[in-house]
Amino acid sequence: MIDKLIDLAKENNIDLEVCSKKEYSAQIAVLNSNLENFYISNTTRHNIKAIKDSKCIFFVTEDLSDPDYIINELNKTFLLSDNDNLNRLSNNSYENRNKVFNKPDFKKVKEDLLSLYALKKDYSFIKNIEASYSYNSMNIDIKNKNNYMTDNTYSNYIYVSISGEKNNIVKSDYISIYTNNYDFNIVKEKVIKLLKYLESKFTETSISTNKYNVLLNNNVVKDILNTFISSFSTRNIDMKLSFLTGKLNQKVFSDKISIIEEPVNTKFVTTRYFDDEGTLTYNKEYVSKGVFVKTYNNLEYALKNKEELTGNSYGVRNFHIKEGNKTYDELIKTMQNGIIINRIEGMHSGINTRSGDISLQATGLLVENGVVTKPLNMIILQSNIIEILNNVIEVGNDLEEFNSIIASPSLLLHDITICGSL
Amino acid sequence: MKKENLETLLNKMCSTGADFAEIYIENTKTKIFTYLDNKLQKIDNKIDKGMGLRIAKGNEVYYAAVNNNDPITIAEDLINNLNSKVLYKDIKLSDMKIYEGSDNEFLDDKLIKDYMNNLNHKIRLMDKRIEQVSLNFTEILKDITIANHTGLYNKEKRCYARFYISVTFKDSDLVSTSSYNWGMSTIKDIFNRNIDNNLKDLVKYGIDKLYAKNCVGKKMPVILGPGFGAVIFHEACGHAMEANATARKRSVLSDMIGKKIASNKVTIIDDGTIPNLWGTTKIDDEGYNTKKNYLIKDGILVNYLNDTINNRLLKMNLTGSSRRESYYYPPVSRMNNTYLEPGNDSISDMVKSIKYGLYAKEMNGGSVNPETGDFNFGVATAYMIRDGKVCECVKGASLIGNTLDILNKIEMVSSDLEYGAGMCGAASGMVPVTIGEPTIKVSEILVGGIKND
Repeated sequence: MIDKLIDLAKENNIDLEVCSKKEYSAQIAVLNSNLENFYISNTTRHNIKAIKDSKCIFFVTEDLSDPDYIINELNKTFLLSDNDNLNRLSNNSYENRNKVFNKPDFKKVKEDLLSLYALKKDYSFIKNIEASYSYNSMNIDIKNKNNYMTDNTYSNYIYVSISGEKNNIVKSDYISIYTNNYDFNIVKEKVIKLLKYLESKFTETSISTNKYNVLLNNNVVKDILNTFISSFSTRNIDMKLSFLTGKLNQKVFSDKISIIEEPVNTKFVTTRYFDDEGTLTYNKEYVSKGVFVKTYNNLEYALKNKEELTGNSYGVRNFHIKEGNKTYDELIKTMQNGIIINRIEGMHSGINTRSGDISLQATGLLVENGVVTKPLNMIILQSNIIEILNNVIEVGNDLEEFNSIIASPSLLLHDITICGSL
Repeated sequence: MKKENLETLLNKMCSTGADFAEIYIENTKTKIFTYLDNKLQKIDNKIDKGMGLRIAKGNEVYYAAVNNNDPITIAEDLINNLNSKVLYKDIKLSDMKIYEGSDNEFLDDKLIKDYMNNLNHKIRLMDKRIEQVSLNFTEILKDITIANHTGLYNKEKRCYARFYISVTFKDSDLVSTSSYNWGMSTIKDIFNRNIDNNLKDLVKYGIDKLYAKNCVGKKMPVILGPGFGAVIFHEACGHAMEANATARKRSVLSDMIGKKIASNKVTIIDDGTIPNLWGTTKIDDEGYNTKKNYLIKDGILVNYLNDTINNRLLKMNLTGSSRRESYYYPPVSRMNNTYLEPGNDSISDMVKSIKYGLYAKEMNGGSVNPETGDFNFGVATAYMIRDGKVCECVKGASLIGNTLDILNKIEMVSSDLEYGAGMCGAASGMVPVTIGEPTIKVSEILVGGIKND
C-alpha cells in the first residue's frame, strides 16, 4: 500500500516518504486485591512527508486504503502553503532487526502486582494501592523511492500509587519506573521506601514564604526540564517562543550545569538511531558549563539555518543534566538548613516557557542541621528556570536510567523562593 | 463494518462469559492550521480510524484498541481471560439510530487562511511591543458508532472547531505572553464571533504583564473573573465527582451524597446538551444520551458523573457522562460543560470588600489529586486589590488549595456567567470540555509569590 501511494505521488510530481510506526502495547492494572483492567492495543500510524515545488507538508493517517483522497488533500494543501521549505527526503539507509526482547510473563506480573496489597499487614494505614504494568514495543519503518530504514524500541513501565488514611486524613504518592528489564524486586524496594515516606506525610505542615536553600530531587528537575524541552529547539528559538531566544553562545546558567542528549546510549530505555525523518542521531551537548552552545533541529530548520543536522524531528531522547559527584544524602548534609522539594504538580499551567517563570504546587521536606525534620505540603515553588539553573551549589550523582526521555540528577540551590501558608 | 458482522463480533466477545460487551468504531478527520511569524506555516491533516473492543465481568474490564488487525483475532486475545458461564448469546442489534452533527464538512481552506492573515495584521497594529503572533485553528469531523450486548446501536457525527491566539510582548529585556481562545461543537459558526473586546483585553493584559512584579505569596482573598475562572471548580470538585474515583472510594467526595460540602452559594451543573458548546455531544461514548446533571445544589452534593461499569458499584442513574479521547481508550465518567449557577452579588461589592487581595482576570489550567483533594490552577493575569480598589498588575502564579476547604470559602457569586473552552486530560485521554462561571469571590486561598510586599 505504501509503495502504491509513493508511485501515485510520483505521478503527481510529489516526492513522498512514509514513516510508519507499528505499536503493540499491553497493560495490566490492579487496585488492592482486584484486577481492574487488562488492555491491549495493536495499531499502525503513518506519518507522510510530501515535497513539491520547494514546499513540504505532512499528513498523518491510520488509513492508507484511499490513496487518491490523500493525494488530493496533499495537492490542496500545497496550493495554500506559504512556507517555502527547503526540506528533502531521507537519503540514509539503516536496518536494525537484531534487538531481542523478552516479554515478561503477564500472569506472573499480575500476581506480583496483586501481592503488593499484602503490605497492608505491615503498613495498616494503607487505604488503596493502585499498580499497573505496561509493555510497549514499536517498529519504525521509513520508506521513500530510494531508501529504507527500520528499527524497533521496547520498554516496560511500572506505576504504583498508594494512598494512606489516618484520622480521616488521606495522603498519597506514587512511583514510576521505565525500564527494559522488568524486575519486581526493584519495584517492591521502591514501594517500601514510598510507604515509609507516606507514613511520615500525616504530620505535614506548611512554612512561611521566604527564600531558602532548596534541594530539588532528580524527579522534580526532570519534570521542570521536560516542560522546557522545546525551548532548546531551533524552531522555538527562531520563532521567539523560547526563554533561550537570543541567548545562543551566551553564559546562561551556572558553570556547574552541562546539558547533554544521548539518544544512542543503551544505558537508557529509549535508544533511537534515526529520527522520524531518517536523520541519524548522535550524542551531543547543548549547554557546556553554563554556556548555551547548541540547539536541536529537524531537517526544515537545519537546512533553513544551514546548521548541522541533529536528528531531532521527534524531539529529544535521553536528554539530561550531567551528573556531579555528591550523593543525595551528601547534598542534604551540605544544605544543612533548607527545603527538599520532592514532588511538583501543574507543570502545564504553572510554567511560562517564554518568560521562564515557574509557579508550582509542591510537596517536600524541611531540613534542619543536615537532618530531615518535617514533611511539607501546601507550598509553592516560585522561581524562574534561569534562576534555578544559575543558583546551583551542587549537582548530585543520582541520575536514574529509569526514565524515558528526560532525566536529571538532583540539584542543590541557594536563594529560591518557597511560598507557604504560615 | 456491517450490522451482522458487529453482531457476530459481539457474540464472540460474550462467548466465554462476559457480562458486558461493546464495540466502538471511530473515523476522525482533523485539520490543524498553524500561523506564525506572519505566515501560514503549515496545515496538518490527520486521519484516525480504528476500533475499541471492551468486555467486562463484574468490575474487571478487558479492552483492545486496534486499527490494523482482524477484530475477531484481537477479540480472542480478550476473551481468553474469561472462562465462565455464557450470559449473552444470539445478540441482535436494534436499527441504527443516527445523531447528525451540525456540520459535515470542513471550512474552505482559503477562508481560514484569509481570516488568519487579517487577524495577524490587526493584532500586530495594536501595539508596537508585540513581538510575535501565533494563531492556531483546529477543525475536526468525528464519526463514532457504538454497539453493545444490549442491542444498542448508535452513531453520532460530531464536529468541533477551536481557534487559539497567543501573543508575545517584548520591551528591552522584559517579556510577557497573553492568549485567548474559543471552541465550539460546530464548525461553520466559529468565525461569527466578534472578538474585538477580547483582543483589546489580550493586548492590555500582555502590556500590563510586561511590567508586572511578583505578587506576595500568602493566603488572601481572591476574585476569579468569569468564564475560565471556573477552572477552580473543575479541579476542586469536578474530577472528584467522577465515578471512576468515587465508586472506588478514591475521591475526597466518596460517600458524600446528601452532605453539605460547599457554601450555600455553590450550585454546580454539568450539562452535555447545551447547543454548540465545546463540550457538547448528543450521546456519550457508551451511546447513551447526554443530560443536564445537577452535581452540587445550594452547597449539597447531589450526584456524581457516572459510566456503566463504575455504576455497577454506585447503583445510581446513568448521567450520560462516559467519555474517551479516541478508540485507544476505554471510556470513563468525565465532565462535559460544567458551570456554576449565577448569583446576585455585584462585582464592585466584591472588590470593595477586600482590603488586600488578588483579582485574577485570566486563568490557565490546573490539576488535582481527587483522593486527597489537593488541587492547583494557574492564574495568567492578575491585579492586586488594596483597600477596595483594583491596583497594579502582578505576575501570574499558581493558586493551591484543598477541595473541602475551598468549596466552603466561595463567599460571593455574581450574575455574569461566561463559558471558556479547554482540553481536559484524565484516564480516558484528552477530551474537549467547557467550564463556566460568573465572577466569584473566594475568601481565602494560597497564592504563589515572594516574601515582601
